[in-house]
Amino acid sequence: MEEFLKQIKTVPGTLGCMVYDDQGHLVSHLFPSIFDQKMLSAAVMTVSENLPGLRDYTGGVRMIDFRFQNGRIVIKPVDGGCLVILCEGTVNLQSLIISLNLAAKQVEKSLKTATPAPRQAMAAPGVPSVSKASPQDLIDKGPLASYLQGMQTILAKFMGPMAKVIFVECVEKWLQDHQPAKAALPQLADIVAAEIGDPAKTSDYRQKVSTFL
Amino acid sequence: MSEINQKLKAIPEVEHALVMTKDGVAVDDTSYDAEVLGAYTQFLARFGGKLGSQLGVGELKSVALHGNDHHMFLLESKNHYLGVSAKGSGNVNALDAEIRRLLAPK
Repeated sequence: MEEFLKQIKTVPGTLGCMVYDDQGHLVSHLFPSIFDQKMLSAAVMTVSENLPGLRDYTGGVRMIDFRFQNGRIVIKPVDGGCLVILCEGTVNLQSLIISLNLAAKQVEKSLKTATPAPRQAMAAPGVPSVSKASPQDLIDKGPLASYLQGMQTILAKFMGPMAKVIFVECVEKWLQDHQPAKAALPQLADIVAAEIGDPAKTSDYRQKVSTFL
Repeated sequence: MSEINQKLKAIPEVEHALVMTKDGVAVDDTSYDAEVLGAYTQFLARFGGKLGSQLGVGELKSVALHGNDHHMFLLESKNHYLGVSAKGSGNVNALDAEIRRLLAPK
């Protein structure tokens, strides 16, 4: 799914895109980390709750282009879900529509096959219970809490109050590919370092967290 | 029929146009069509306003909705909304451009 979202995001002026399924669950997104999960889920809820209200009058919505003071939001319902794209006000809508039409079919196919997967994964036996814990639980009270909290505190010195939100997202991303074990902490440090961006600060962060790795 | 409605009816695909205050009162139009369009315009404005505030993109300025049977357009001014409905057979982007062209000050 991420691959199709990446295709959409190649259109100049596209800031982020996400797809949700017909149950209103956020399936995948490519938004900058400043848009946290809570923010995106709230937006998904707004779209999924309001879109059906327009069906009677329009005979079904094919696309909505909302223009705002500081950007544009394009909504493209697809079979089994919906795409939501955030763009700069200057985006070339025609280019975006071409990309959306190309991606829509792929997203539809992917939604049909991918949507049940996370539910199956959640129910899969033999997965250690700790991997089901939310990133926040893991940071607050998991077996690695002291390491994770230390890494988060150091990140706050570089990123200020946003560090908490960004660190939770990094942990979430880390858990997608790794078991929450001390041996995998260097990979978490890599993910966090990538969020800092500035090379000097990144190097400083790596040095400071090395005591936890 | 309001002046704006008359002006926009020059576009063959336009079905109805309605100026309404932001608190939902239609200006110069008491027809049933205006009441329905007004309700959906208000709904669309609330929907967009909420979404915009959730994603931090500021105030809603306009909307172009591509529908199967009918398209909808919304334009915002300081105190009013303009809601327009058009036939679904028309090209939504061309209609959007044409509506803006007709309303642009000359």
